[in-house]
Amino acid sequence: MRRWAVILNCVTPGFVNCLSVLNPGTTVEGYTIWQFQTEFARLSTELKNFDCIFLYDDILALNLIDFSQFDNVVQVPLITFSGYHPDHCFVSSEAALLNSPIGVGNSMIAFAAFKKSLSVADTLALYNRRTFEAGAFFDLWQQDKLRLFQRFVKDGYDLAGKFRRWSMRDSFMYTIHHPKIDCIYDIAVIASERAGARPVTTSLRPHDNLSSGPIFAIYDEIAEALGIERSSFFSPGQYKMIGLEQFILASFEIYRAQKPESLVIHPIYERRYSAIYDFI
Amino acid sequence: MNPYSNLPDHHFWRRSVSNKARHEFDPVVSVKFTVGAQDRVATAGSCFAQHISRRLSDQGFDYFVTEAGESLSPGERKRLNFGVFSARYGNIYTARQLWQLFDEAFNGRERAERAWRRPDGRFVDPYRPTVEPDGFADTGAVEEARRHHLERVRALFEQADVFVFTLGLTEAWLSKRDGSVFPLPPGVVADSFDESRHGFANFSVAEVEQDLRRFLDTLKSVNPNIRTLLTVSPVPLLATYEPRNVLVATTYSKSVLRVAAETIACDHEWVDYFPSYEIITGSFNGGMYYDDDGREVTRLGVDHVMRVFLNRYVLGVQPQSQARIMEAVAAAPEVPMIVCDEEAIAALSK
Repeated sequence: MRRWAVILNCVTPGFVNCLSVLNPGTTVEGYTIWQFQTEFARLSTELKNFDCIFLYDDILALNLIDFSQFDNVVQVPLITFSGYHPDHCFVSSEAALLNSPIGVGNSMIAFAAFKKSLSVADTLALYNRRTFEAGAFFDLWQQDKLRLFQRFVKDGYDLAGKFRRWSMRDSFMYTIHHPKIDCIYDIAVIASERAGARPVTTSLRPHDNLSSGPIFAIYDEIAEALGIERSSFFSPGQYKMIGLEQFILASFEIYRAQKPESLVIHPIYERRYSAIYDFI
Repeated sequence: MNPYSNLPDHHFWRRSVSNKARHEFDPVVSVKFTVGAQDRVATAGSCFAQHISRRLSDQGFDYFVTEAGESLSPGERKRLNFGVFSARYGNIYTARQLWQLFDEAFNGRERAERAWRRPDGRFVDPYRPTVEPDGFADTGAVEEARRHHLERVRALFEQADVFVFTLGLTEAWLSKRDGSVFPLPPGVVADSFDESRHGFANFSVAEVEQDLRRFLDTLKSVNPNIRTLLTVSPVPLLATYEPRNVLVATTYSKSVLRVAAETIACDHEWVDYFPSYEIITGSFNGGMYYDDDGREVTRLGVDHVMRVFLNRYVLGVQPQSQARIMEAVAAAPEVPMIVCDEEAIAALSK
């Protein structure tokens, strides 16, 4: 019986389940990158016993282990996509990323408003088309689509047609890092083929474990522009939904607990954040 | 080298449809005119035109209404169908019905049937039988309301800057005495069907074209600066009187209207065709723009239509070129891998 190992991020359980569904008779074991790092000594030895190892090229780049010793590594494209959640950002305090009420994803608008000492009510009023235009939120979908396609091409995955289907009916992302199970399944099909298997595709999809994880809201104006139903609730997970006002309120409480001078936006968001900060 | 070698993307299915996400699809290639914030925009047509009217109004356009029921409360105005269209003509399904209304308003066209009696004894205007839910007390009241209506219709066509007309269908019931068409068959709301008085028509391309030409030429003579936008309603027929399946009858009807709209738009530099029909019915959307009954258009579909309309006719937005997007992608840093939770942060920060 074939044994495959999967080393990815939060996508790992879903990817393992998809590989299992697609490849009857194959045993698939999954490790998140954090599990891998924690159990590094054991797992780096254990990897020799797998017929195939699936991982992101970003993990290869971490140089945790010399993966060139294995000739059975299949690279999997990482999906990050901000098009549905252009307000998402990372905020640091004391050089560590700061969690918002739903996890690592903060609201760029809320953070800029906090920095300008705005009230919750005034901040809430900023979530409108004019602010979104100031932050070039409406441009991000197309940009991230191209970026994702570039990644697919680099990793040798032909997923352009699948992408169209993913985005057909709804957002295909829960947060900028968490794709829905259909995306994971389609990637698993190609990954299986690249591992030399002949995946059996059916209509069966494993349960979407990331649906009970964090969810970043899709604001009305963004949803309208992207042709999807509105979904203006955040969730820290376990389907506990919180509205925008509550999210802002809780975010402000978190920011207030930090030293004001220590709070900074992650550099990758600097340009859009500055545009919003200047606009407010 | 072949004739297609250097054509732009919109000529090719793969480049302009397959390679686009659903919401990115934009079938407008060029526009003959744009609509300014100060332009008085009037609408008429079938049910789908009501969506356009509502959205124009919601989005701050100068939605031009000459018969608004100003003296009534907002609730009464809504109940009595004021403001549904620019004048209180109700749904205008066919090009013949539009021409007939215009001909009556400006040329005094006579009507053989002037009022219909409802089963409850009240009277309705046969040419807009549902606009007055309470009906009228007598035929005189019907006539009086129609006189006022026609005056408002004249004001509308004389003063509008842009007229949006949505062609609905080709089937109609008419008076055998003078050929007048009715928006609803006799007997549905009032009066009763009488084979000696009433007949059925299913207009041809030539007939629709002729009605549109007569309407547009006369419209231009009373309002030289007007611009017109033609659309075809994507809403299928609710019922057909033809001895064929209603979907087959719908295809005939919409095909005739689409051909007529195309021909007319090609012949008039001040008349444009806006492809809302293609946006709603196109296979690119996977049927998402129809409700569960396969007939009503969903909010997402109307959103898409209005997004394209606003971008192209109002804001004059051109789709961003691939090169511009690529530049933006190259200039923006990529979101780092894996940052999902505290554990991840800890792991990555090592």
